[in-house]
Amino acid sequence: MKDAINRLIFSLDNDLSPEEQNLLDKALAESTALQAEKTKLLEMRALIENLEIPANPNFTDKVMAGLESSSNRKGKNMEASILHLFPRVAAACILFIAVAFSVIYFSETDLPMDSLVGIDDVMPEEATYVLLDY
Amino acid sequence: MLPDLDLVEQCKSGDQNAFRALVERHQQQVRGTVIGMIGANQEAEDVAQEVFIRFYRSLEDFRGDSKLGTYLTRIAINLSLNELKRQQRRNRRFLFFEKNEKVFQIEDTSANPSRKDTQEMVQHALQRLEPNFRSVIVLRMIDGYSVKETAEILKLPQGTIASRLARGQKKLKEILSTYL
Repeated sequence: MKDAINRLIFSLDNDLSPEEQNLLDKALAESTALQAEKTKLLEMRALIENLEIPANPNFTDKVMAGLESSSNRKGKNMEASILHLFPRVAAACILFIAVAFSVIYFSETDLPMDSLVGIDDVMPEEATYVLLDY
Repeated sequence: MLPDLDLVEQCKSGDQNAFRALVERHQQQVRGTVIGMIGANQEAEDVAQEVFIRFYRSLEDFRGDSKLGTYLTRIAINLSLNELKRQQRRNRRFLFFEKNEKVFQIEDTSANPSRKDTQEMVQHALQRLEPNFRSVIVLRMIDGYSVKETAEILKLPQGTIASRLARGQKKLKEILSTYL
């Protein structure tokens, strides 16, 4: 019966070979259950095929309005892209700074201001001396 | 009445009235496809509008290799599937079914449900189908495409379409039997 039902469902959308069609016709002739199954399937298909699509009288106007607003938006795309990227760029920078501070902290076991600005690495001979005239 | 290809050429030249005429001509089919896929709600109207907007933006890509109706249907199916994925991510379908489950208890099963009940019942049953099955059912039974045309729209082998149609109908029958 399962094969017959499968064959029946397949036959509703596809052509069967002559042999398959003969088998189906024979099964339908011999089985009232299969005939009932076919009736139910056809009723179900009719329900779907006749599904009502509610009318929308404003649809075309809304499409045209949507076109106009999307063409206005084109000019603002660049600005929108930058604004959209900004939080991510800012987050990336903060992450970079956090990683850099962590590296300094773990190598120096401290976060002295002198290390952060690089004064520790400056030699006295490299400093520029300015004579102040008091 | 100008053929679709002529109207498309006029659209490419910037004729908005030609585009309006195309929308009027194809809106019912496009809306039918989207409503079959997503349900009769505001999201479906938005997606259906987006189909035409996307088509307008990519007018130059349409060369007339397929019928315009088929081309628009392909866009409609893709945007509908995207919308369904978006809704799934927000768990909206789960809430939708919970919220609407009780609408569907037909109290007197011996009487015939009203036409409106039947329409809603079919609509809800469709929404309970997996998108893979739903798309083939919508294209074949609501839009009226043949198995071959459905396979071309979905870019799948005909055997796959035939299999999904069969399994989709079985599932739909099971779902509808719970309502009656």
